[in-house]
Formats: sequence, C-alpha cells, structure tokens
Amino acid sequence: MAVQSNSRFLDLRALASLQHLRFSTKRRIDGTYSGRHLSRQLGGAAEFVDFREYSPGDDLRRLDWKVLARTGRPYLRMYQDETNLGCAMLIDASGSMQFGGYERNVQGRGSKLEYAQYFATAMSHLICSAQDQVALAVAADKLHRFIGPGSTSDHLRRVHTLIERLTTWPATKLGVSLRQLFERLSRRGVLLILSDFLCDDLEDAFSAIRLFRSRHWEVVALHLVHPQEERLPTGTAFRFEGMENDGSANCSPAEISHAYEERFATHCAVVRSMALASGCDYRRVSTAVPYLQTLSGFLVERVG
Amino acid sequence: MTMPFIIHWLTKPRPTRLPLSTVKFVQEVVKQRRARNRLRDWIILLLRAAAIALFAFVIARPLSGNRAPAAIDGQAQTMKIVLLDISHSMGAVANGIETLDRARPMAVRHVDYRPGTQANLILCAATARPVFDRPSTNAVALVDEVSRVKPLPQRLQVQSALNSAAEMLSRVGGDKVRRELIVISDFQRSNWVAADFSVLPADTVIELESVAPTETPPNLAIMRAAPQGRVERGRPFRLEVEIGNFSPTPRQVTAEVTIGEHQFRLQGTCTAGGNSVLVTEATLNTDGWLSGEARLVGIEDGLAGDNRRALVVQVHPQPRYLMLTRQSAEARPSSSYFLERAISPKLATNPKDQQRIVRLDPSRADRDAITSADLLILDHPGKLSDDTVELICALMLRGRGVLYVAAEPIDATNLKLMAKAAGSSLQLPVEFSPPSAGQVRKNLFLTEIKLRQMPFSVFGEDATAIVAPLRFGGGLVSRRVEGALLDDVCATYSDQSACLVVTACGAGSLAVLNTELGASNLPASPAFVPLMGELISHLLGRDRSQETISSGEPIAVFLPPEAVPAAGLKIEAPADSTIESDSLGELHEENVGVMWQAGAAGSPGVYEVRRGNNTIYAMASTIPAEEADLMPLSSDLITNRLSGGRDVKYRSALDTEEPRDDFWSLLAVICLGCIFAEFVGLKLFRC
Repeated sequence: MAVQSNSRFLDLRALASLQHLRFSTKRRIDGTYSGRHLSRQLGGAAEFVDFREYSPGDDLRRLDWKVLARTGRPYLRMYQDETNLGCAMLIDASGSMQFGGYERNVQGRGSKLEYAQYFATAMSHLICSAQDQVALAVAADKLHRFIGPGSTSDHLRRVHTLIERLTTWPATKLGVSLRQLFERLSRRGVLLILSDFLCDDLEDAFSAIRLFRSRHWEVVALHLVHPQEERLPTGTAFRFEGMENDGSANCSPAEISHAYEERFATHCAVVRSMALASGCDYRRVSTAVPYLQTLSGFLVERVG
Repeated sequence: MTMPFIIHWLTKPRPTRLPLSTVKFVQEVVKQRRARNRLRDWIILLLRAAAIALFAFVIARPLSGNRAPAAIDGQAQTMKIVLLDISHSMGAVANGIETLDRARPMAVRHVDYRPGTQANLILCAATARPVFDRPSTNAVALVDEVSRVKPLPQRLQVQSALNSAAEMLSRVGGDKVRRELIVISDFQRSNWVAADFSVLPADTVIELESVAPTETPPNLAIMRAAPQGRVERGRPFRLEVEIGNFSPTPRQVTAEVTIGEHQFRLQGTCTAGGNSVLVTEATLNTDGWLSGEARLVGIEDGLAGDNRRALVVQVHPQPRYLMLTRQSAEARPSSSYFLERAISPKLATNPKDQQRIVRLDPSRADRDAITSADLLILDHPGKLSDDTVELICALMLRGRGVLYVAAEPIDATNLKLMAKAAGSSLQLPVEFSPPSAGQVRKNLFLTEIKLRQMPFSVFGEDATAIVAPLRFGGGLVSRRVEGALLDDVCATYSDQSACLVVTACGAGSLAVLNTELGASNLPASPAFVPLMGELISHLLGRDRSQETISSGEPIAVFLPPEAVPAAGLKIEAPADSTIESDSLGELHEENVGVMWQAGAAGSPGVYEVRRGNNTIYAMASTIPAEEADLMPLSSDLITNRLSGGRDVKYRSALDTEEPRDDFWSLLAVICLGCIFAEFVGLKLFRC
C-alpha cells in the first residue's frame, strides 16, 4: 500500500529497515477481514484443525460426509480461520507528557509526547502496511479524540494528522478515557497504551484495563519515562512547577534527591506490578533510547 | 543582633523555576521532611546568630579590655606615666640598631598628645628623673626629650623608678582617673628580677614593652680590675682583671692595663657564660695614688662601653707598725716579743725592720706617733686614756688596722670604750668581759674555725691538723651579741669564748686575739708566723684603691686621715669628663675625718681629691657590672611572679603579633566551632 503522508514524525527511510517486521499477536483475535492473524472463529476455508461431533443447529455444510458414510455418525470438520489485526493505540496527552527535561529549549522537543508521536506514527504505518487495522485514541481527562479502526491510506493519513497535531490537556484521568474507549471498540484486538502513567487514579486506570482484558483484549502498556524524571537536577534551590495544575514545590534537590529517587522508583515498580497483575504486556520505555530501537525490539520480541 | 536574621534571610537560597512532571513526588517528599527542615533552619539560624555575635565580640576586643575614660569636668581622664630605661644596657647594639633607638618610637607613641590624656616621662637609670613634676599635656616637650636622650653609663635602679612612678600616680586625680604605667626597657635579668609592682596604686594599668633583641647579643665586659691586697712600693703584687663572658662560646681575650706610666698585658680564656679572672704580677716603684685603665683588646661585642674600666692604685710605702704595750722590750719571752718576731722575723738582723716597728707605752704615746703608724698593735696596753681610744677609733674609721691582743681583764674595758667611741661603726660580734674570780683559763683548744676564711685559709687543707695541737691560756671570756655578724668570729675556744675576732670599723678593721701568748703554745708553733702574717696583711690590706663607685650612685666616703683639714682640698674630674664642678660633690669635715659626699657619681673615670698637686684620695667611677649581662628576664616571670597578682601586660616590640590572649582565642575557636556545627548540621539533615 502506498502511503501518502506528510507527517513530520514519519521517516520512511528509517522505517525501511523495519518493513520486514510485522506487528503480531499470539492471541486469537477478532478481525474484520481475512488476514494472517489467528481468528477467534473456527471455520471458513482455512487450515483444518479437528473433528467435532455434530450437534443440532450446526452448519450442515461443514459435515464430513465421508466420515458419516464410514462410521455412521455425523462429524463436523473444524478449520482455523485467519483474520486481520485490529490495534487500538491510546496516546496519553496529559500535561506531564510534555516534560522534555530541565534544559530550556523549544517547547515540546525531546518530550515524552514527541517520543510517543514518533512511535505511534511508525507503529501505525507498519500496522497498516501489513493490511491490519489501526485505531487511535487521545486520552487526557477524558477521551478527547478517537479514530476508529481502519487500514486505508486515507485512514492512515487521518491518523498521522491527528498524531502530528496532538496537544496536551492539563489533567489526566486515564481510567475515564479507557472506559470511554472501551465503549467505542466492538471487536477484540490489541490495545497499545502510550503513557507515563503519572495520574492520581492509577488504580482506576488499571481497573479499566482489566475491562479490556476481560473482553480478551491484548493490552500492551508502554510506560514512557524521561531519564531526567528519574533524578532531580543538581543545584542549590529550585521551585518545581507542576505541568497539570498540580502546584509547585520549593526545595533544595541535594536534600531530597535520595528520597525522590526512591519515590519515583516505587512509582515505576507499582505501575509495573499493576500492569502485570492485570495481564498486560508491560514495557518501560526510556526516551533516551531512540524510538526506532525501541520499536524494533518491541516487534522482534512479539514475533518471538 | 538583627544582623544574623538579615544574613539568614539574605543567604536564603533563591529558587530557580523549573517545570517537572513528577512534582507531586517532590511535594510528598518535601511534606515528609518539612518538620526536619524547620528544625534545621532554626538550629542553623541560632548557630549563625551565635557565630556572628561571637565574631562581633571578638572584633570588639580592643575596646573590651580597656575601661573608657570617664569625663570629669572637662579635665583629663587618663594619667599616663612612661618609664624609659636609659641605663647602660640600652646602648647595646644588635643588628646595627641601638636598643634605645628601638625604644624611642614606642616612647613617642605613648607620650604623644591624645585628648583627655596627661602624660609624663621618667628617665630611669641609677636615679629616676621625671621630665615634669606631674603629668602634663605638653607632649612636644616630652617628645623632644625622648629624641634627645642618650644611654647613661649607669645601672637601672628598678625600684627607685617604680617608686617615683607610684608617687606621681598616687598624687594625681581621684577614683575616676585612669592611671597607666608604661615601662619601656630591655628588662635585663640582673635588674628586673627584684622588681616590686605592689608600690603602684591598685588600679594602675601596667604595660611592659620590651625592646630587648630577639637574640641576646654576645657581650664581654671587664667586671673588676684591681690589685690583690696592699700595694707597696717596690714589692710585687697580684693584679687581677675579672672578665665576664656573656656569650655562649668561650673566648680568648687580651686585656691591657695601664697604671700611671706602667702598662701590663694579661691574656687568657674566658669560659662561656661565666666570669674569668686574669692575673699578672706587677711591681710599682712610685708612691701615692696612680690612676689607670683596663681595656679589652680586639673585642667587638654588643656593648662597647664596658670593654674598658677605670682603676685606681694606691702605692703605699713600707708599712710602719706602732706597738702600744707596757711590756719592756727586754722582757723575753713576752707576748709583745712574740708579736714583734712574728711581724718581722728578721728584726734582730735587719736594722730597717727595727725602724718599722715602734714600741711605745700608751701613757707616753703622742698623737703624731699614733697617726703616723700604718698598723696599731695593742698588747698589754693597760688602761687606755679616752683621748687615745678616740684617736684609735678615728683612725680605724679612716682605714687603719688595729690588732688588739686581749690578755688582761682591763682589755675588756678598753674594748668597750673603743666600741663606744666608734659608735655604730664598730659592731663586735661578741662582748668581752674579765673571767670571774677563780676561773682559770688554760688548755683551751680551738673548736670552731672558719677554715675558708682569713687567716686560717692560709693553711689550706692542712688547717685542721695544724691548729689541733694548739693550746691557749689566759684571755677574756666572751658572750655573743644578739644580731651581730657571727662570721666575724674566726675561731672559738672549747669553752665557747671567742679566740679571734676580725670586724670592720668604718674604713678600717679591728682584730682581737683573745689569749695570753705567754701562756699559749701558739708562739712556739710553726703556725704562728704565717697566721700573724696573714692577719696583719689583712689589717693593712683594706686598700682604699679597691674601692670603686658605680656611675650615677650616691657618693659618701671618708677620705684618708691626711685629708684633714678639708680646707684647700679640691675634687678633680677626669680630663675627658664634661661634668660640671658643682656636680662633683662636697667635702665635709666631720669628727672622724673628711667626708666626700655627692648625689651621684659622674661618668666613668678616675676622680681625685687633691690638695695642691698632691693627690689625697682617688676613686674610680665605673659602669656597674650588672649592666653587662644583657639577658632579658622571661616574660612569664614578670607577668606571673613579679606582678604580685596584678594584671601586667607584657609585649615585645619585636613581636609583630599581638600578645597571646587565650580568652579571645577561645572565643574565636567557639565561633569557628559554630560555623563547623552549622556545616555538620546541614550535612546531617541532608542525609
């Protein structure tokens, strides 16, 4: 498929080396079209899997007449259906995602949001290249934007445009956003969450994730961490100002750096444990690592 | 006290604004630590306040130790007395700078004009000489005096100077006047060791400023130059020059002594840090008073003035003896005969000796005969007339020697009369009295002998063995006088009575030999001649030429008997002296002779009393030997032991640093400790 996108986050020459990789899942999914992914449906004209004794109401077209003739008992032939993948990407567009380090430079450059934009653009391109469908959701205090699943070039262009024009909102309610997304998605697929999980209702967020899991969605949590979030800057005194209208704090970093690092590490550990407990595929992604390297590793691992 | 708070506020860190996505984590941590931080801030504020308060206190140090002068009706509030040492040692040169030149700027600094301060300058040497009668504001005159003053060849009389300052400080002001005493000196050990500051008013602030060089300059000095014993014409005598070596190394020295026309050269090694005596044998063939000088050759040291010393030698003719006795010359053996033979063993063969010893009955002795004798010997004189007693005592006071052989009871009376006539000048250590009736004095032997004292010292180590066989008889019993000088009793008999007493009487001496020589085995003993020889030599040998006077010290001496009458006598100063004739002193004729009295001896040199061209008496004025030792007294000794509990501040002019003050050092350490505690506190709270 020829993609006609002008997104500044799309670097086709860089993605050329990843074209041979496909985003796949080992779970069986519900797809709209025939594809290369295992469908949750058995039947069709795909690969034979097994026999099953006939029960009233079954489709008589799948009855194996030869077995009936030989044994006198009706058996149905079972085939594994293959379908296409539907991947919904949820990008956290809260204010905290705008954090790009302590150096004062152009707004948003090097931020977690920009990293997510690059990653989501590349990911959507690769998914659509494999004839799979991609959906996009932008979450903050609610579900602000949503583009349903699709794989056409127009659809992909719309997705890229939305990604490119992403702005942030000064609040995070990931749980609310996920629930709203859940209501809009009908078919099972893969939910890719790109977030820093810096929200007050972390428990609520994973509660919503568990909803997806109960519907047999495969949920991948990409935890974006900026390296300068892990430790405070060196200096005598700073006034740290929150990015989501959450106030400010005066302190001397030398006095609290150790406690802060412990607190941040605890936060990361909590996110990880909750994600794993919810049956998510958890990956901690540092924005210090190039997004292509992250993407490559992510895809390779999934191919197995 | 608001400063610490202002500083605390000013030093409070100004935060840099930074956006942070994880600010809620920071808020949580800060909230947890808020109580600790508040406690830390208070502690740091208190420590900083304490440190700054202490620092301010330390800075205020120059003011805290001094009481601010109180204003009293517009009059001066501070009375300052500056004692400036101008003794001979202040002329010492170290590193090309005279010690007094170091002292001048310090003295100027203290006497210079300051509002509310009156000052006076006391120039101290042998006497203390204040510039004004009382403290004055005339700083110009005081500064001018400081610039003109020169070291005097005198010793520093410390106590005289302190007394003068104390008297002046006591006179001024009332209770509200601040009194200050500044002493600028080299603080020589030999002078200051007996200083007593207790004479000063109790509220006097005492500051001692030392100008002694850091390293004491080596110094050699002639401490004494004089003949040993009596100098007689044509008879060899020992000429002694004592040299002090106040340096850490022994020195080879050469001394040249000039006496009249004669010149002598003495050489030897001076031990380090001690005195050495150089001796030579000399003979003079001219009678009378000869003046001279001893000087060190080729010596360059810290104090050049004491490398020469004036001396006077009186060359006597052969001595003439007058024996006052009632015994006949033909009576042999007799006590007087034994004495004659002891004095001149060759009496029988040498006609000249017969002329030297004149034997007279006291009742027939006239004044001229007695006066012309160099030594009077009284043996069995009987009852002496009052005139004779007075004459003998007068001669003794003027320097004559008298040997009294006490053998008869009447001798006790004669001795009492002599003691009465001589007054306080004669203090016999024992009182002689006739033995009681029936008391037999015989077979007495010597028990207590002053072996290291004249005349027994002539026997050296053999003295005990020589005197052990001696047995005595006759004589008087004696009783010790309370408070008298027992050292004058040279030997004591087994019955605790005195055997031989030699005591000074004015310028002369009296020796009492308490025995009947005829009843003793002493004349037959080989000890007799040397014993009497030594005794007579001593009596003759109180040589006036050994008398010296320290420059600047008061003079009060009796002139020889030939000085009477005083009319026609004139005092001559040394040729190079600039002293005025009025300052040479006065000659008073008194009962016992002519006295030369002066307030202060002049500059070093020989001063002569003349009648016409004849020198009647001569005396050398010298630099006191104590001034030669330039070693200063340690500051601890002055401030702790000599101060008498007063707060005495001692400072060396060569110290660039302020004097040690442990209290202020302690405060400074505490101040640093506060800062360090603040640092540690910050570290601990950040953990």
